[in-house]
Amino acid sequence: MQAIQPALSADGEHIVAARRRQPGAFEALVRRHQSPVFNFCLRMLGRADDAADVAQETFVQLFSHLDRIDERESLSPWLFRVARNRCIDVIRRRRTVPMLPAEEGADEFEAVDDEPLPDELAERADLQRLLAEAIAQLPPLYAEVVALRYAADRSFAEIGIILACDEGAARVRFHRAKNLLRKVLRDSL
Amino acid sequence: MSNQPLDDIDRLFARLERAAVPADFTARVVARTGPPPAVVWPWAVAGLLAVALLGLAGYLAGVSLASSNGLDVIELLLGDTSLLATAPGDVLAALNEVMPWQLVALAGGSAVLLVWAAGRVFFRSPAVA
Repeated sequence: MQAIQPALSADGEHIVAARRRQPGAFEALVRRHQSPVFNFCLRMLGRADDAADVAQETFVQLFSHLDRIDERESLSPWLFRVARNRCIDVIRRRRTVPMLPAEEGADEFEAVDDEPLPDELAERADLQRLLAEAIAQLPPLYAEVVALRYAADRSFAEIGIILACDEGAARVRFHRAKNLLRKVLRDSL
Repeated sequence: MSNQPLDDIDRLFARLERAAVPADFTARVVARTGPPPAVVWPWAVAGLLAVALLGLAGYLAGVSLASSNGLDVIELLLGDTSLLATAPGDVLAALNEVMPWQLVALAGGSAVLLVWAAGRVFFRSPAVA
């Protein structure tokens, strides 16, 4: 007796069609995911041209891995994992000194700051610049979780998959990142 | 997003604007993942070679027919096509004696190659994304 196959998601159907080189199938996949992936890269890298390059490489890698991707799995975590690794490569190349390993060095940025920020901050004309710069000042370990949450609208469950940790660890890291953001924003006032 | 209450940072970053993806982004990705552009020049060279072979074979076949009485046989057949019906065996035997079959085959092969090469050069199938 044949097992009943669950229906594929829209991404899964596009993946199967793209493998068969059906016109428009891969383009549909790109269009579905390009905005969150690009915005994630933009917040990680701070420059639109670099973000576009990294996002483009991410989708090119998707194309070359179509045969190896499980169409029954959610595609987003795979895309963000690739984009994140490529962003970290770019950040490493930019730095003249090597990046610290993931956890090491994070504590020195650790500052308990849970005093609410003044409400006037939200009314600043240069709010977008302030927010972007605040993310850019975070160590990549925290910038990535903030970018995934605020720029790419990922759930903590997804963030956990993307960062290869469990959901609880993703929440903890995000909480620490918010404390850092608060401190960075307060310093910028 | 979760059901947790929003704090000041959440409310602030909820105002973070999503940047528009560059207008040509999708096209650039698709261009990099499409099939490589078809290579045309080998087919153009093959077409030119076919034209040269066809000309050479035609010229040599003409010379061969002119040096034998082949042209007379062909002229006779064209003048009286009923011979094909009344004495087909004799007609074929006469043609077989005068026709330079190797050159005819070369001309036929060249013509086929020419048509094939021209088709590949001028009627390429569109690229599939």
